[in-house]
Amino acid sequence: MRGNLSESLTFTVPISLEAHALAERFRNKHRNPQKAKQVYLNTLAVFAVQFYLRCMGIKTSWQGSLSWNPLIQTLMDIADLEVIGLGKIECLAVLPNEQVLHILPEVSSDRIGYVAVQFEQSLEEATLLGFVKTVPENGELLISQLNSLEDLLIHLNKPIEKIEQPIHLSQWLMNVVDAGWQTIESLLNPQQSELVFRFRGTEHTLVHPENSTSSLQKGKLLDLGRDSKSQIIALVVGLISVSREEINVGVKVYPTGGKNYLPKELELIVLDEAGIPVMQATARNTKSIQLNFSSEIGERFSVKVALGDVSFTELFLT
Amino acid sequence: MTKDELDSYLLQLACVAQRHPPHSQERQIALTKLIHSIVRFGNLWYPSKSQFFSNVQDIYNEARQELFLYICQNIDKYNPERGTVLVWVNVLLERRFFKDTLRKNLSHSSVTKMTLTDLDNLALPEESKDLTEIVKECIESDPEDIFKNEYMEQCPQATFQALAMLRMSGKSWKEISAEFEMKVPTVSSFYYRCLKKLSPKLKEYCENQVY
Repeated sequence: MRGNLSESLTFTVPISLEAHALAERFRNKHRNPQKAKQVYLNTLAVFAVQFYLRCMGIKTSWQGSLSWNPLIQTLMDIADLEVIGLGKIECLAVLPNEQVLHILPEVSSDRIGYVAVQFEQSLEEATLLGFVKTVPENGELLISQLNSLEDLLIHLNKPIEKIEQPIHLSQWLMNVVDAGWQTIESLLNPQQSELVFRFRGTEHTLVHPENSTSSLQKGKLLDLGRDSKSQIIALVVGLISVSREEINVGVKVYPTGGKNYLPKELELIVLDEAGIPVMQATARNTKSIQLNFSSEIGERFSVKVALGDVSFTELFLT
Repeated sequence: MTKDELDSYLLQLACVAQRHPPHSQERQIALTKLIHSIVRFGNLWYPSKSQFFSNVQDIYNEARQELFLYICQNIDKYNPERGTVLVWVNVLLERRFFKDTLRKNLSHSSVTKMTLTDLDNLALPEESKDLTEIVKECIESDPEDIFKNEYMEQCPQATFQALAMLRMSGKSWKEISAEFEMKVPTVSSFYYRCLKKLSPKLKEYCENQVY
């Protein structure tokens, strides 16, 4: 539309006293003046993004975000906001006349996007300027590089698996395991948990992770039931580090809840980076299914478990 | 842009939003554009001079916040036959949200509202102990050796404990990564993951301290 309507799309959020009161509550926990200012502005930035998403009918959980935790505030410059079912958005406070944003690497690892929030001197209102999916390598983002809020909405409306953060398997070997993944003992019965992953004709019994940094296995439960009927199966991922560049990966599915057999027609599929299926197996009268492959460090792949029209896809990065 | 042009543009956006179901991308984009244009070009109602009192801005901010949320959640209630979008919006602001907020009389008038200038000239709070100090002590004392046992295989000296101490003393990631001869993303994402994992532990340790 004519001239001045073609300017970039922004959203102005008037900042209520309630938001200032919350920012004040967090600020008061920090004595260092720089930290106190940082926490105050981060709180208002998250508030503004949360308000906007609420207007759009998009559910968030601030309480479930790291930025809500004063202890974490002392250890990071963080303004994350958990978008339910999608992941974290980082809310970037922009000071008046600031043209370049500096994003710390510590908040760059598992964000689904970054929203820039412009403040005025008076802190009476905040304006959402735009959004980017990823931050440039050097952590510097020019205001002029921001995409419009329209792109943010398009991004948040994509099917979940497209913007999911991959699970970083190399980190598992360093004992940093993603939430939701548990030890095998807590998932499976004793007969099942005596796992043997076969790789290239040799047998490796995976040792207990506590005793090893080169191999381990973790699992999680997936419910593939429909309507109110649950159909819970365990997905287990085993890793054996072969060299600095290579990891052997085994993915396996088991029945749970005392069942001996997997549900018929259950499919286990491994897909490559482009989403193309590279390995596939279907349960008949099957106690478990296992697929093995080796992966170069830094490679992405995903694992899909499907039963009828219910499916789960997990994205991995080695 | 003339007033007529703005009115017809806002009407068009309101109709697009009404045509698409709640939570749909099309409705979300139309509503964002609608609020954007109202704020930028719409001459929103503002309390007259006679209504001036010390916290009028606070009440106005809260009323506008309520208004924007209302428009987004109730765009279906807008009826083009009864007036332009701006008439609808301004009547809501003046007669409903501003009045309601005024009536609530903002019981939290004790809130200190900071400006950027205030934040640059902060006096130290009265609290006896800084949270940063408490967290530092917890990580340093590491009663169960948890923080020093989180380290990266390729660099056992880079424990979570060491990284947290360096970060809290103001060292940049660049300096830290040079010290351990590792890449910035490697060290910083390890630190971040450790924090996510260890935050319940940290909370447990700090909880018996008052913060």
